[in-house]
Order: sequence, then structure tokens, then C-alpha cells
Amino acid sequence: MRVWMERLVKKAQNGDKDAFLQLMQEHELAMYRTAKAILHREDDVEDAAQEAVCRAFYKIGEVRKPRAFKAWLMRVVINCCYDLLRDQRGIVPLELLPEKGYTEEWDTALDVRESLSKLGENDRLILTLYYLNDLSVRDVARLLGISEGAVKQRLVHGRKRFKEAYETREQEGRAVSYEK
Amino acid sequence: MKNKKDLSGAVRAGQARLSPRDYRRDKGFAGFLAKELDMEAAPAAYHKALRRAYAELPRDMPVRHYPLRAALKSLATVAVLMLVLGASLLGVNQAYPQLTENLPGLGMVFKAINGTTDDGLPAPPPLAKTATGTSRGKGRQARAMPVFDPVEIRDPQGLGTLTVDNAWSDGRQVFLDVSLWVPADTLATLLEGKVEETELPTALEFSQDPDTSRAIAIADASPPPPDANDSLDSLPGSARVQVNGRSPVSIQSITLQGSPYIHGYPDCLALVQQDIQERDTGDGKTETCAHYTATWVLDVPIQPSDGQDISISLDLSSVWASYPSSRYSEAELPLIFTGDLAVKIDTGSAITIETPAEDNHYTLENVSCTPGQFSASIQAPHSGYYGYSLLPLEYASVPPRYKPYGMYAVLADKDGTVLAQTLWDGTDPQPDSSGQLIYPLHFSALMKPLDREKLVLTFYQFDPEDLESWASYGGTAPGEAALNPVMAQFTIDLAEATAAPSYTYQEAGLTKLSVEDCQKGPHHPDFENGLYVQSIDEGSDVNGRRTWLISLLAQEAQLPSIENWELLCTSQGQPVQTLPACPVADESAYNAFLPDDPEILVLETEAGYFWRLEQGQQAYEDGDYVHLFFLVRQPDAMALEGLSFELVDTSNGQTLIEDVQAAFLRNLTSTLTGAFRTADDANSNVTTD
Repeated sequence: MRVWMERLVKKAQNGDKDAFLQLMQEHELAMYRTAKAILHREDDVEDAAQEAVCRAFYKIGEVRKPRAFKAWLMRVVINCCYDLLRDQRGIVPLELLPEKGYTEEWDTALDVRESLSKLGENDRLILTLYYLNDLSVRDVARLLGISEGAVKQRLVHGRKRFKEAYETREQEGRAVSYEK
Repeated sequence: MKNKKDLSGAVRAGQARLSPRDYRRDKGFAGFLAKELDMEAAPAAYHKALRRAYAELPRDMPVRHYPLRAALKSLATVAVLMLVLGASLLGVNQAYPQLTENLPGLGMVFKAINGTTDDGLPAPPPLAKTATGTSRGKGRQARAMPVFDPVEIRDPQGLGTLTVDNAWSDGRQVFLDVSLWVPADTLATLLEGKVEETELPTALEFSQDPDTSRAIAIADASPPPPDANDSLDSLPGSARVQVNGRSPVSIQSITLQGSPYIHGYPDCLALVQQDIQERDTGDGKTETCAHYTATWVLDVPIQPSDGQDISISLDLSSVWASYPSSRYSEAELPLIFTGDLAVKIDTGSAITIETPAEDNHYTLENVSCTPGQFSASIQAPHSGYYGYSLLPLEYASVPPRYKPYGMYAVLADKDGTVLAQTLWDGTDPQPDSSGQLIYPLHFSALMKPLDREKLVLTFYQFDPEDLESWASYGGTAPGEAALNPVMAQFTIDLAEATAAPSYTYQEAGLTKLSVEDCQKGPHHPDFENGLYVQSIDEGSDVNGRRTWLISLLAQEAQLPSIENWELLCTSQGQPVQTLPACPVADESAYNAFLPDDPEILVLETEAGYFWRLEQGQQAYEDGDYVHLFFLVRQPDAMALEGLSFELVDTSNGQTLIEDVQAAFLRNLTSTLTGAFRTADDANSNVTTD
């Protein structure tokens, strides 16, 4: 499938609009998940995705490595989300990405929803890009401009947090197993 | 060899502290995460919003501008003018040779063209060329490639040995045949705790990743700057190679499998595990070593002339152990190799074949070959699309409707070792002067540099990558059956510099299809009771429960009785559950939407789902089919051994498909071998040569 995608990217760069639309349709869910990880509100997600489609249309010629198209598109979506937040609130209310000494105490989560609400924006984004959008650790690191070690650390902590929350729920007989 | 205590220090020098096990990917967790983040599927309103965005886009896409292309266009214009002028002078030369031979500056050229000797007499005519026929191409012969003395580079800690076994250059690129030997126990110790795999890594990559500290600096701004990618791309890597004192513009790694190494990043220096074998340590002892090999191809920044030396400087560190089959498991290893070598430029090993060769309407032309590179132009006829074969949609890398037959060229040596293969590049066919649709293809491949006697270029009906998926899915390994019909084959004799049709595929039991036959349909076995099992795919849902997705094509005549159909699931011969169908055109017969796609109506029961897919019908151009799906869910009590599915019509007790899995395998194998053709078809249509 990757080879097909790369051909579509090249075709789109050469002016094939059908190829561009196919690319967009293939990535609709990935764009949705990325935007949702940042914005939460469905209306905002729609707005950001629409803007991302428009920007991708004009900028796809700048993609130098067709195989990196998905990561590039996710970068476009993320930028659109940040721009939207800036317009709405004047600032981007995202937590800083601490690179070293990531020693925040992970309290014992009692509920998945509670755990989710405490999960930082960037952690949610990293988990989404890695587990749901299938980007590699390297791609996520490049996309967010952080080190691979930081991505791995956040994946481990994010997963651990979910796992704790999930296992607590499971003990209460409310959940299904996700660990094989 | 270093002992374990010493190695632990080396390991500490490495980077990885987190185990990949802690963040491994698994479907269950991804499903759980998607559910909890409310991201399992996008709502219909989101898709509608995107449809609106698509509709508002301008009709024409902006196209990349190529300044170089514009310059080349200007150059081409000048070249055309020169050609016109030259042609005019040639015409004058035909009529008035004395005039052109006396032109200042150009007179000598026309004298040479006219064969006029200094004494004024015409030279004798050249000998007539040997007639080679339209199917054979012939060209200039080559000389043997120069000999290279291997260069050995050792890791300073004794952790491994890198050897440049052979090197060759045509002045534009340098080819390095590289092998790396690392003691197996050393490698295992270095990897301890870093990866969850128990096997030694199947590949090693000398990383050229951006410098981590620079990445961290960029990350200090949150959110990261919009041009973070660009900044990162331009950062220097940690593995350094220099050719004549400069960094090569491009680096490629060619594996023994005959294809560029494309796992991870293509511009890395990669090595792929060849084997694990005993190696002489030089002191009369042997040790078990992991053996990695590859051919590295580096662009030469400045092109020197024939016979000169090119200097190569290798400064390799930051090796990543890699497992391409699970690409998220990797670890950095503290191996370091630093050394220099020289390669003599050789331009005399190249051959060219100007005369075209033809086989089954495929025309091979403009062949050029060196010990390390092969290129040729091919005019390939349009023979139809995958869609004619009713192959499973999800196993083709491109939707079948758009994927043509016969575009898949494999280059092998005379022993059948695959050196390279090329896939359809996405170009559409163009009509030639007679109205036939032709694909103008270009095959270009880099190879391990060797003096070879012959090369064999074979064009297959199906993409070998797809075929492998289909074959493994269908339980038929390539080689067990004669899969993938041949469309054309050429053998290039490098000693004689000729190209001609050949038939070595027959030794593998393969047959050739004539283009005329391929252009006709159908390309699949007959429907049984008006039904065709296209695929059966085993998977699991987000809760880890096993599922089977059955894709079925039905002819319209079958549909009136569809409300009586049931898919009967049996385990060890005992009925376990049934999954009913419903009238496909009656929306009231459905009771739910497909969870993955809220626009598709389904009939949901305890046993699973049934639905009809509207999209995708156009993929099959040789008939009017209704595309039906059954998604069977594994009931708690169902044993997985001896499971089978039978489609029955409950109104009359008729069995429509006795064993769905068997019918699928039958259809698939029959299509991929061409065995569905009747004896009459075979006699009249299949070229047996």
C-alpha cells in the first residue's frame, strides 16, 4: 500500500487532482484522530481538517520524500489545530514538552475517563500518532521536533497510565482485556 | 574478543534505556485507546465537511515548477535548431559535396562523412552488418571489470569487522560490496534488554539521523515551529561517508534480495543478515558470527575521468540493530568503523544495445549495462487490468481496476538469482500510431557489481509483491505451483552485446500468455451456482474476538432467493451458528450500520453482520456483480479447529457453496496459475513457445 501511496503523492505533485483527493480520502481518519487529540470539539476538528485539506492542496509540491507524506500531512493538521487555538484564545494552551527529568508523579488512576482528563495534550497526541495513526517513533519525533527518547518515554508513561486505569476498571468488572 | 564485563560498558555508551516492550504496538491496546479517546471512527458530519472542502478546491492543482526543466527546454530548443541546420548542410552535402567539403571549419567533417581521402578518391564502402532480425538487438561489447583488493576495517573495541569485498565505479557512482561480521554472542550481549526479539537483528543501519541535541533545541519551542521538519532534514547525520572529500548527494543500499533497502529510510547505509556461520579468528580458532552484507551505491560529487582513482572515506558509528518485520523494535549499538580506500574508475565495462528486440508485442530498446547498473526502455502493450481477475481487493497494493497486467519486470542473472525488479510506475497507456495502447516503461536497476555473462529480463502478468501476498494467503507458496504467467522474456548476452527473446521460464513450469489472449476476458474460474468466493479473511475485533470476513460476488439472477440464504458455521462437523442474509435492495431489511463505516447498512445478528457494498463494483469490468459480505464473529463456545462455512438456501435445502474456504483457495490458485482456462482456450490462446 505504501508504494501506491507514494505514486499517488507523485501524481498529485504533478497536478493530478484525483490522486490528491484519493490521498485525502485515505487519510481522513488519521487527520480526524490527530485533530481530535488536540481540539476535542467536533466543530473545531472539522474546521481544522478542512483547512488542512486546503493547505495540503497548495503545498503538496513541497513534500520532498513521498514516503513521508503521512507524517507531513499530520504536521499540516497539527499546525492548523494550533492556528485555530491561537485564533480562538490568543494563546496556545498546551503544556510544555519537558525533555529531561520527566518525573511527574503518576498517581493511581481510578477511572479511564479521569485518567484521560489528566493526560496532557501532547501525550494524547503522541499516543494517537503512534498507536492509532501508525507512525514510527522516528516520525513522531521529527513531526513534533523532539527526541526519539522523549517520544518513547511518553509512550511508556501514557501506556502505563492507561493500563493502570484500565486494570482498575477491569477489577471492577467493567472492562474487556486488551493485553493478549 | 571482549568479555562480557567490557561489553556492558559499551552497552552503557549506547542510548536505549527504555524497553520497546513497554510501548509495543498491539491491536488490543490500539482498539482500547481508540475507544477511550472516542476515535474509533469519524462522525458522518466530519466526512461531509471534508466533502464540502474537496468540492471547494480549485479545478486545477498547482504544479511544481522545475527551473532545471525550463533550462533544459531552452537547451533542447537550441539543440533542435542545430539539428535543423546540420540536416540542411547534410542535404547540401548530398547535392554539392565539393561545396560543403570546402566550408571553413566544417570541411574536414564533411570530408570524413563523404569518405574522401587526402588523394581525393572516395573510400571503400563499409562492410554490410549481419542481419539479426527484428527480434534481436545487438550493440557494442564490453571489457572485463578491473580487480579490486578487499579492504578490512576493524571496530576499535574488537566488536566486529567490516570488509569492502569489492568496489567498482563508472565515475558517476561508486559501488561498494560490503560485509560485516559480528560475533553472535557479542551481538546478543549488546542487545540484551534493548529489544524484545530473541533472534539476532535481521538488518543493521548506520544511522544518519539528525543530531539529537539539535532536535532537542528545536523542541524547546512548544508548539514546534512550522518549519521544524525542514530544520531537522538539513541537520548532519552521525554516519559520515565522503567521496573525493565531499559528501555524496545520494546513498543507496542494495540488498542481496535484489532490491533497494527501503525499511526505515532509504538514504541509510544498511546491511542485511545473510547467515550465521563459523568464522576463522586468525589464531587457529573459529567463532560463530552473524554475517551481514549489502552493496552501497554512492554518487560521485565530482566526475573524474577513466583510470583515475576515487577516494572513499568511511566514518561509521551509531549502528541501529533493526528488525524490518517488526519495524518498531530497534536498538543502537556501539560499533565504529573508520577507514579509507581508493577505487579506480572504469568506463570500459559498459555495453549498449541499440537495435530493438521484440517478444509478444513487448519491445526492448536502448539497453545499457555496466557491472553495477542496467537500464532499458520498454514499449509494453496494454493487456487489461487486475479487475478482470476478480482478485481480492485488499491484497493488491493498488485497487485492481487501475492496476494493469504485464508491467512487472524482474531482472535475473543466468542462474535465476533475482537482481532487481520494477513495478508499474503509475503511468497511463498511450495510443500508438495504430491505435493500440502502449505503456512506455523505463527499467533502471542498480546491482552488486560483477562481470556477468547474461541477464534475463522477464515480464510477468501479476505484480510479484501482490502474488506473494495472495500465494501465502491462499496457502500456496511460490514455487509449489507455477504461479504468475509470463508475458515476455529477453536474455541479454553481455559478452556478445545482444538481446533476444528467450524461454527460460518454461524450466520453472510457467507458461506465456499472448497479449491478444490477455486482452480478452474473463480471467477467473466460472461462477458456481452464480456465486464466486473472492476472499475469506481472518481477523479480530477490538475486543480480541476472532472474526472472518467473507467477500462474495453474486450474479443478479441469484438475488431473488437471497432472503433465504444462511451462512452455516460448523466446528468439527457440528453446526455452531448461522448468519442470515437479507434482500439487498430493501433498506428496511437492515437493522444497523457497520461500526467501521456508519454509512453502510447491515443486517446484524448475534453471529455477525451481512451487507452489500455499493462501492467497488466498478473494479470488475467483465461482468455485473453484486458484492456481498458476511462478517462472522467467533462465538464463545466455538472451537477454532476444524471450522468451516457453508452457504445454503433454506427454502429448498440447496447447498450453494459447500466449503467457502476451499472455494476461495480453488478460485485464487486457478486465477494465479491461469488454470481456469479450458483446454480449447489454452490451445487457441496460450503461447507455449
